[in-house]
Order: sequence, then structure tokens, then C-alpha cells
Amino acid sequence: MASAEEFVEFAEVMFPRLRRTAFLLCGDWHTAEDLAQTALAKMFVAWREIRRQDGVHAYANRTLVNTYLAHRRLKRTGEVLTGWFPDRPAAAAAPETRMVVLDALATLPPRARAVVVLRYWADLSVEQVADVLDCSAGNVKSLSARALHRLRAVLDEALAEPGPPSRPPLAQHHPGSGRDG
Amino acid sequence: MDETALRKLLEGALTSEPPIGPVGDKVLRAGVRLRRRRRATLAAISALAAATVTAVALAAAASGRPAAIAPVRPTTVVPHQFSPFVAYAAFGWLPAGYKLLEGGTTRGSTYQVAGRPSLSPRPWYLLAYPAGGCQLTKARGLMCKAYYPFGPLALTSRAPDISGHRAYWATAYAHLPSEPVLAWQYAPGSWAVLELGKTKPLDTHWRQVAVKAASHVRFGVHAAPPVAFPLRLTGLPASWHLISGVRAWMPYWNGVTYQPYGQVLYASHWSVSTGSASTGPRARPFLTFTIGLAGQPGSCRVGAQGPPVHEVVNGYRVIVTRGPFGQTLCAANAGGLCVQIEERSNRPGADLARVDVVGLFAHHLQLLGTSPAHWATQPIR
Repeated sequence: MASAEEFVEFAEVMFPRLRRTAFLLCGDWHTAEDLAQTALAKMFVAWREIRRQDGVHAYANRTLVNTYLAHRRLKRTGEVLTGWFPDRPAAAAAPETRMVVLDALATLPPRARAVVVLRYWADLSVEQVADVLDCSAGNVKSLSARALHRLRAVLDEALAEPGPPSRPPLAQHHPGSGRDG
Repeated sequence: MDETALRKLLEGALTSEPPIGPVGDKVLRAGVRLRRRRRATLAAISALAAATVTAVALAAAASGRPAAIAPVRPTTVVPHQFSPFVAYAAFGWLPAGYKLLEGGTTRGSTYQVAGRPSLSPRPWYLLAYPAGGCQLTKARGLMCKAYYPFGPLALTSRAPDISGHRAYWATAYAHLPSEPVLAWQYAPGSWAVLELGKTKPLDTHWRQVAVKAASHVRFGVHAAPPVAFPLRLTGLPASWHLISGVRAWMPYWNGVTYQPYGQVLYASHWSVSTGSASTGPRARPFLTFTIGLAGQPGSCRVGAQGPPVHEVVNGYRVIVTRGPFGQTLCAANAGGLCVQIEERSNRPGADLARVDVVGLFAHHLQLLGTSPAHWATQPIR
């Protein structure tokens, strides 16, 4: 079963990166692990076809983002966005900055958030992001511009002020309000 | 905040990453589970779709309307000539009160008649032709060479497809009162015709009934039980043979007529040629055998060949007529069978077999009784 062994090898290499991408998308390590695992399981089902293609990594990103978007749709009715993270042990370095960034990302609609993560963390080009999200490059650019504008507004304000981070307004990321591109 | 700063911020947000446990086996197991679940889902969807199609077809059939989704039968290879011992087409569904009355086979066509026992309204005739037996004409007609010699059917409009094959509403016999007909191609190059026994155009209800009946017609050598012969001719010259021509009914019926008897079909009317001529319509001279069964009215039609003579042959009472135009023998009850042997000619003394029907009945006729288990598949041995 060479293809299974090959897939396991691919999953071992790919999983950490996929989990980090998923974390930036969803803001929760447990959910991120589930998303990454689900994306890889989906890839396993079609592995015989995927392994012959050149863009296996792009396929993985696309599967992960689609899994995340589907997860968001499924969770939307039952999810309550509080804007606050539950209590957890303090991270070693710059916990405030990390939480501010995650809070800021949480203000973005899912697809805009995916654009930011894929463009500025996964270092995909506009065309590659458009391919992952199955939309036009222009759509990616507009989503990116709007997302950056919002992130700047939130992050500049939060990082400029000392003390507790500001809380994003709930109304802007209430379930159902994030219809974009 | 520029893009570089944003990249750093995103990188910094990952500082709380927990350790990663074993990944490969866990992901592999999840993948196998997902694949199994998808296959089961696909199988369930397929089964559900099949069940839905069946349910829709059954529901439509139960409601008396033609099935919206008629099952498409696999295309069969239709022979260019039928066997005279096989009913190649058979009704599979009939309106309430209708039943199979009679059928017939030749090499060139096969038919079944169904209707009410009272014969009112007029019965339906189902005819099927072998491959190449019918051709569409340029004048929107369907010409079947074994059909009545009344010209082609006139196709008037398209009918709903019958079991996936094209069908037409038609009228028969241009010079006779228009009789509505449903004609359809039951296999490539092979046609069937359902004459609907009415002289007025069909209303919507009867059109739906006709389409339903046509869609349930069975075709093939196993469409109906083989035709069985309650008597058999033995010890005759090799030149004697069953007549089964290509052309039916006209100028005379030259095939095997059968009737239903329980779950079987028995040959009730057939002809034997005494010569070595062809098996076509000119296969004369010939003798015709008409058989009835016990329990059915057993009476003899005495022909006009000459004065009737009552005799006892092999213990059976028979009536014999002889004359210049032929001879007849009738036994009203010969071991539970009503047997009539007839020979006719249009000219005195011509085209006669010169066979004594009493000698034939006495020495060459093997009566096989009324039990289908003892009947023969061939009438001449």
C-alpha cells in the first residue's frame, strides 16, 4: 500500500503548517487541529488523484479553507461570538499582542480572514488565493484591501494604547453579517 | 501598519502553539473512516434513487395511469423470422375485465387478442413483427409486409415513448372505418401494433390505457409459455409438415392459433401440408386441424362438403362429410378433446390431399388428453 505510506509521509510534513493556518483562521488550537485533520482526511479519500497533480500543497490549502468555511457555516447558528477569549495560561512572549491580533482577525468575515491568512501568513500570491477561494483575483484584492483597512483600524488603535486591549464591536462580526465577496 | 508588520503580527500570534502528537496514523484512520462513510452514503443514495423510481412507477401503475417512468427493457436481438411454436409477444397488462382470448403465430408475425368474453366492445389485437418486418414509408405510413393486405398504417401523431422506444398513434386501413392503432418500435427495426378495437378516435383515458398496455407487452421467446399440441400426427410421410408462412390471415391463416388454458397455451387451429412444397401460402394441398378442450362447448360444425355420415372410429363418435370440394371429420368428444379435420378446395377435385380423413383419424392421430403435462411441442412425429 505505497500510496498510504506516501500519504502518511505527506500528512506528517503538512500537518503543522495546516494547523497553524487553521489556527489563524479560527483562533482556537483545538478547532485548528480538527480542521487540519479533516482536511487531510478529505485529501486521503482522493489521494490517488491528488498525488499525480503538481499543486498538492495548494490543494491542501484549498481543502483546509473549504473545510473552515464549511465549519463556519455549520457552526453559525449555534456559535456565540463574545469577543473575549476564555482564560488560559499566559504565553511566554507578548500575550497582549497575540490576543490583539486574534481579536482583530475575529472581526473579519470568514473569507476576508482567509484572504489575510493566505496572503500574509501562507505567502500565497493573489492568483493562488483566488484559486483556493475559487474567485477572481480582483475579488481577492478587494477583499484584501477591505480586510487590511479594518485590521489597521483595530490594530493601530489597540497597539498604540497601553493597557487592556480594546474589544471589537460585536455588531460588526455578528453571525450572518459577514457576507462578502 | 504595513504588510511586513502584519506578517510579523501573524507570526507572533502563533507563539502559543501546543505540541503536535503523532499525526500519520491518526489522519490515516480519519481518512479511512471518511472514505467508508462516503461510500456508504453513495450506496444509500443509489438505493434510495432506485427505490424512488420503482415507487413512482408502481404508484403510477396502481393508479391506472401510464407509468411516468417506464422501465426501459434491454434491447433484445429480434429474429428475422419467428418460430411457429412460440408466442413472441404477449400482453403483460390488460384493462379490468379484459382477458386473453386467443393468439397466433407465423414466421412473419405473431398476435394476441384480448377483450371481454362478450366481445363487446371489440377486442384488442396485439401484433408484433420480426426484425425488418415493417418499414416506415415516406408518406408517414408504416408498412408491415405480413399485415393485412390493406396497405400501410397511417401514422397521425407521436405517442409517448413505449419503454424508451418511439411510438405513434395511427389509423388502420385507409379504405375502412378508421380504427385507432398504437404502433411502436419495440427493438431496433422491429415493430409492434396494438389495434384498439374502436371506430372513434380515442379519448385521453383510453390513450393512457393503451400506452400502459403497450408498455407492459413482453417480447421474446419467453414472453409466453410455448404453444403445446393436445394431439400429434404419427407415421406419416416425411413430406407432411406444419404450415407456417410469413403472411398471416390472407388469403388464409397459415400459422398456429392458440388459446389460453390455465397457465399454458394450446394449439387450437393449425394446418399441415401433405406435399413438399414451400411452407408459404401456396403450400397446398393441406389439412386443417381445429382442437377444443373438455369443459368447453364440444360441438361439430358440419361442413358443406356433402351429406353427414355418423361413424364410430376407435370408439369415438365422429361425423364425416365428403364431397368434390373436400372432406371433414369431427369428433365432438375424443378423450376429452373436440377434434375437427377439414380439407377444402375452391375447385372440384383440385388441390385435394387425396387422404382419407377417417383413416387419418383412426391410424395416425395420437390423442394426448386434456392434461397439459402430456401435450406435445411438435404436432408431427
